[in-house]
Amino acid sequence: MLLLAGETLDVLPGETVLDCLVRHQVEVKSGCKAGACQSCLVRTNNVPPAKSQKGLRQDLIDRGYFMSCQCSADELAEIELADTEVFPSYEANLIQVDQLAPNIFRYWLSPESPIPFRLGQFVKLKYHAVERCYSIAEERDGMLGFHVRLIEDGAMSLLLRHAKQGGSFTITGPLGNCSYQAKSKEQPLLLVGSSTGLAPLYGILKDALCAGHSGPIALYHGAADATGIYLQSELLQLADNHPNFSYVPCTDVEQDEFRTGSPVTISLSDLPDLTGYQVYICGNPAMSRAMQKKAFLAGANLADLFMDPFEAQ
Amino acid sequence: MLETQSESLFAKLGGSAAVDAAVDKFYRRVLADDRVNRFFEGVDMDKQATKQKAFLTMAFGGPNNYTGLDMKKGHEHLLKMGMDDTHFDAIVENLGATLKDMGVADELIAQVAATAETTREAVMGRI
Ligand code: FES
Repeated sequence: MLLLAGETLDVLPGETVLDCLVRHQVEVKSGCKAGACQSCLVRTNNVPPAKSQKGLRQDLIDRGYFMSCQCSADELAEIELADTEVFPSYEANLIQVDQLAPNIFRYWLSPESPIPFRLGQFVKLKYHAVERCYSIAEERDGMLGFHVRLIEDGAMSLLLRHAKQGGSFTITGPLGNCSYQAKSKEQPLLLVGSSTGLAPLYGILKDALCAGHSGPIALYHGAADATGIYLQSELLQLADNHPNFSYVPCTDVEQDEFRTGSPVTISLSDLPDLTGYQVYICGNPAMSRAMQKKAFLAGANLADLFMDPFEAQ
Repeated sequence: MLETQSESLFAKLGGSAAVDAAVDKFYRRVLADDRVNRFFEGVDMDKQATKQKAFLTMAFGGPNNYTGLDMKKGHEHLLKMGMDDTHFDAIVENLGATLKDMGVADELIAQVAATAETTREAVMGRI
């Protein structure tokens, strides 16, 4: 017997989880039925067989995803469909707000119980019934630091502008795959982000340096103009202290000491061959997709591309 | 008979490790090929890569349970975008070039191309 969302499905001898779901007319995608296409993913809190998770992304494995065509139905007690996954929630209080740039602020939240996370992953933050996704950029004394650009008329922005110390938030997650996971300490890393897409990259950078990463790390941070370049002095300081780290701020308009152009174009002209690189990308969806494709064509393997597209809101 | 033949092809090529090694190289070639890359414009690259992997597994003679109907359905939207036999040829050509790069013997490459060829009528919606 197999439990699915409180319902009991009977199991025929030898049938796969996929076959069992199909026989009970549960809607689930499938393709090759041979463990190659990964279209039949479902998740479980039990331990699925190793071959049903072969080749899956690590964060999916961590969350119990497996290929339902590669697991017999009698090996598990309960399963969930992929799109009904429930993430844990935590209450958290606002401790402090720092201004990082004219419109960019760092919100420090202290969760009531510890959250297992890696810097760079994102969570959903809920405040007064409005919910948005933000990356965990920093950690200090058990507090999580989030970078937020407040925009005109944004529902969350309007609320956050007036958020008071002690204000109570709900954190759901963490989600996503954008966190430091170099295959070796020598692997070269390229970090490319625009606007507050710097947030996860900053977390990844801190984690990498903390782990003693010795390969080159290049960070390209883009913004429309100088008002969007933030944490500049911290990053310059890090570049001073770590000869393997280079920091390149760029702006769309020609301005001050910044390189002019998009971080995508500038990073690729500096580093035309990305063979062997790990590339972390965070910014608006169009920029992220363009960078992902160009980095792949420049030689980086898909499994070494980590992307966290976000929409300003 | 075909079963045993194709299983041995899969083993000769190096099994799923060979698929893993080939998938990025093959997909990169396809994206760089102006004859066919418009069909891949705007698709989610991670999802596409798992499809490529499934395709390579099949072409390498590895385990798969695709039916002609699956193949037909999976490519209908491409037919609407103007896909024809020349595009199918280009993909097979890229597949061969990928394997050649990897140092695979010509005779095995021919077998892979022949396996890919068995899907042509379904992919083109002619079944
Ligand atoms: S159907 Fe392709 S992996 Fe399960």
